[in-house]
Amino acid sequence: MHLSDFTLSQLRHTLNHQGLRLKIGPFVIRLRSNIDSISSCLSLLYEAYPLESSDSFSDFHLRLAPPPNLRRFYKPQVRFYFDEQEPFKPLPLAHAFPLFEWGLNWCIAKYAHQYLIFHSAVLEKNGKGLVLPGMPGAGKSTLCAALMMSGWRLLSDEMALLDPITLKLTPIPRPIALKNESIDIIQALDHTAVIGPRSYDTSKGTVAHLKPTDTSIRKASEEVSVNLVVIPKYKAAVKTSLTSMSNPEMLNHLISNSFNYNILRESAFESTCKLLDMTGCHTLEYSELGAAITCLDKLVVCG
Amino acid sequence: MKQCLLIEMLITPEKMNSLSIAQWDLLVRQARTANLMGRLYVLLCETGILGHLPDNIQKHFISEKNYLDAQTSSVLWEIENIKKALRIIDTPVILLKGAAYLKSNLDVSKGRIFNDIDILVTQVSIENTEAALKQHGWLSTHLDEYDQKYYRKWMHEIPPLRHLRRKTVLDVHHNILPRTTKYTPDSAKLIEASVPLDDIGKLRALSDTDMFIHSATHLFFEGEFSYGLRDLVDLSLLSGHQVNSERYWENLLVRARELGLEWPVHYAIICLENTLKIQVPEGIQQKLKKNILSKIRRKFIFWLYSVMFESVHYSCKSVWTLTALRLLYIRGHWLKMPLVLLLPHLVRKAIKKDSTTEL
Repeated sequence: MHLSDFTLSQLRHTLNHQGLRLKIGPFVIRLRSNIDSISSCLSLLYEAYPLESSDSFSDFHLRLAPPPNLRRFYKPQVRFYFDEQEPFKPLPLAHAFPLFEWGLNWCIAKYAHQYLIFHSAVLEKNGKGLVLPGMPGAGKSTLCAALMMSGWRLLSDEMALLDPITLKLTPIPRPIALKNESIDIIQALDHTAVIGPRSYDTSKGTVAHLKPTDTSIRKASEEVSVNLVVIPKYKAAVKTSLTSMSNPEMLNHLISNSFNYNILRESAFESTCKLLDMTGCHTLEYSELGAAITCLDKLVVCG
Repeated sequence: MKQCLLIEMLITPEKMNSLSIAQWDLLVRQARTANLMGRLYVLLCETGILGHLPDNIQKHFISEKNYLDAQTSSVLWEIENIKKALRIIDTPVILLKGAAYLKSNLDVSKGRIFNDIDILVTQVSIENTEAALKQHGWLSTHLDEYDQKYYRKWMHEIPPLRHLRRKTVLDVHHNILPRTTKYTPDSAKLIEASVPLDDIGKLRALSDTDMFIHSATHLFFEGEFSYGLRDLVDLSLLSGHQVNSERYWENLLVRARELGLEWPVHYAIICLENTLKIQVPEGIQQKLKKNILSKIRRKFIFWLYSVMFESVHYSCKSVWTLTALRLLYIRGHWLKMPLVLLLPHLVRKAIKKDSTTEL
């Protein structure tokens, strides 16, 4: 069963009562919400995702709802509940769907230490895994979105889930969070791109989510080995250039871009070193998305 | 009252062999909320069930284990840093609770989450201790005047210290109960009976009996119970294999009487039986019946505690949960402070809480 099997009103009813059990990568999320924007965004962006039955094991039980007080009406807010506990402060109701996405990121970063988790995008083409680590604002999400629209399979736009023993990456394809100018850039790049409604004035500016390609969702159980780690650096008017990076330098970069290196400690160090021994490490400076994609495409043909 | 699945599994861990998937879903959530995922992990290993769990369930316990290992490592390192900082101060450094269990390699430390580190030093050395810790990067928290006064004038500990780089929190005690309560024991007796944890005897832990008494005192003087069931589990593990020994309990009760803390030990014994079905020898049970159970007031209090322990997750709350928690909250504060100090303190606490949750 998939989310597309529900009409919008059936979806709303299910979310409002027993909840939906969405399979997102390796996780089953039980989600409940009585907020209309949540059901609309789910029906647009998660329609191709499989659903699990009501007696299955859910990894996280989430609920998004307005507060049970005056903030339901006056400057309405939305609360995020993790198994009925509130880990964060409420946000404006208009940011309900981004709150769901950020909340889910939090769940994984806090409770999935069976993986070594890096803050990076992960894509695959021709069986070759590409990791794009990067600090927020470096252009990683935009490049990730463009690569996906040009035919790369999306494993994640935000979190690389690395098995510390097998060194394989587990896919967790989710709507890609585009910020500010990126939203228009990606829409202009591909008119068929399905982008959800914009949320204004969030802590990251204006945010909208890009629906993952069907292939990305269909192959969500196919792990991939890492072949390339590339740090993307968008710079206006610069010529596209790919520069090799030494393993130790990349190791430092990955450590500072990890969510739980401090939890996995020696095992994280050993796994990351082994990983870098098997991969090509580069930085990619670019000003034009098309040229960046061409450069990366070449790497997975020859590499 | 409906019994919560988590407590049922703590009493009979072998039952985890025959849980349905839906029950696992509930058990993981209850354990997570109760801060007992680690304990379940240990029980799953001991019963050999872990390896037979479906991957999607097992991974939650693997994740928890990784987290606990990191915490353990972090606490041990922190203890070394504390020892170094207090090397020249003229006081033994007695580790309390989790840090002590870990350093003493006790069963109770396995699968246990550690939060802050608590140490006990002599009252006369408190100023020098605080100064030495500050020199090594621990800074005071709770900087407003009222909070500073609350801790330094009334409490048994200075305001918590937070390390400036490591962000770890250290609670420095000069007793195990506040000055404001009539039950404050003589901390010199605790220090005298303490046992060394290192070669030079600087780093120490409370004796076995005092550890149990401290843990019971801590639980039954508490007003907030996010770790309530966990603390009861601690008590069950601290008594461990000696639970069937009448001599063990008699020694414990004698020592508790000496410290003026008999009733928390009585409460511990009753609650271990009521909630975790752990029975002490008949002789001890008879002794307690004479002292405790004839009083209706005590029955009410034990009922409040049972409700609290059982209400560990929203799925096992009852209509009485909120009332029980509120009454125990007030009781916890009332035990620690006389009414004339308590009422203004509670009002102030309520106002402060409201203002910090506003967006």
